[in-house]
Amino acid sequence: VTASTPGGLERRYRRLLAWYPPAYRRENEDEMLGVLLAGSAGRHRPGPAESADLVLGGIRIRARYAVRSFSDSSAAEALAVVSLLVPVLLLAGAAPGIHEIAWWLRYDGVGANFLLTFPAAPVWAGWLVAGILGLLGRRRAAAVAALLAAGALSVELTLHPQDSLLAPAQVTPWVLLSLLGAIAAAASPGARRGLSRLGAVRYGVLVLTSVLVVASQLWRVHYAMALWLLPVAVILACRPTTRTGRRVLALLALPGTAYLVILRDDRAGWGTSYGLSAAVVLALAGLLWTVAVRRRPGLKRGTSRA
Amino acid sequence: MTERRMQEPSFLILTALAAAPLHGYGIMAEVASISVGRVRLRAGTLYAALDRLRTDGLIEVDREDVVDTRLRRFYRLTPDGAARLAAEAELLRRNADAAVLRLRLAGGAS
Repeated sequence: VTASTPGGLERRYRRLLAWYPPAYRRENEDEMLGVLLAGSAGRHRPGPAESADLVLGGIRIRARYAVRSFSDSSAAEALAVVSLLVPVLLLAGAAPGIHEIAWWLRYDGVGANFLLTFPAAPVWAGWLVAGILGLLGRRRAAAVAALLAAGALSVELTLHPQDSLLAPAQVTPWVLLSLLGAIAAAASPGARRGLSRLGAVRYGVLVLTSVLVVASQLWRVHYAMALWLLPVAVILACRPTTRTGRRVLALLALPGTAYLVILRDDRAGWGTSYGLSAAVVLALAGLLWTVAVRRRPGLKRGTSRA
Repeated sequence: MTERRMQEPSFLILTALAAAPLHGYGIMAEVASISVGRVRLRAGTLYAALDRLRTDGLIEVDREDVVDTRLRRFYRLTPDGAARLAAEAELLRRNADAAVLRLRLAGGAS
């Protein structure tokens, strides 16, 4: 068979159709070949425009298949949960600044000029906007807001950590968490999906824990202990016995580790006496992880949920 | 939340299928006819649009034939597809009416 015969034309079309996903080709290749050959009108090879159209069509359908398979996966579910959690967890990072605003409001009454005491407030507020948009189901708007907020927060914390009343050594977990949240918001089906996966009660417990961290900073009562509640609440709320829960914890591991490290930082004023607590929390997380990984779906009734 | 506007190839494909089920090559010919030769769909564009319309539930497979050992698949509008096409057509008609009216008013004023 040469390129100048009808068989050669079919072979050339088949070569172009190789740009399509195998699953799509299995279902549609024969039909598409029929259409292509019917429209070939005596030609012996595909034209450049037709070739480009087939290649672009193949790439488009490949991209669509990839998005579909990702959005149906437990990885997408995990990212959706992360996109839900990050704005709430970042509340704890803004706690020192919120404390300063409250302090000034109470004693100096300069609330109208609170930016003097907490110059980075608008940057942190960007995450509040992203979180609210996510909860309202505005997935695209939430993703854009999260990307902008993460960029602004990362630059601000890196260049001017003092604007958030943080020591330079304290910014790492919030920068990492912020960047992770932006990726999750952009790549996942959205916070509403995360909420349906996590459950309103577990989400509410996490919100309350973050609020408690902020409140304990305001009152300066048991602040250090409240900070330790956060990783424990995250681990318990994410249900490490489920595949999605394990993936969420794996995604949060990097900022989470940085968070545990700064809890031991003297400059944070959170004390070094909690090193033992850090070891306990990590051991607890490790234990939960090990138990969860050993419980494969199907081995026990009711554990097959993603 | 407002629904995203339909792209012209999708609109023309749904229009082509509004009267009767058609196979791929038939859709291409019908689209060329409806648009008076202005829009000529190529196979890559056609099948990408058909894939999206099927995923969105606006069209479905009507039947399959084999002609000269080659599969020929006929597509038809779903009730959702017919409703979406009607809504889109109404929107285009209103926009066109508004444009014509304003042009007429502008012409009268000059």
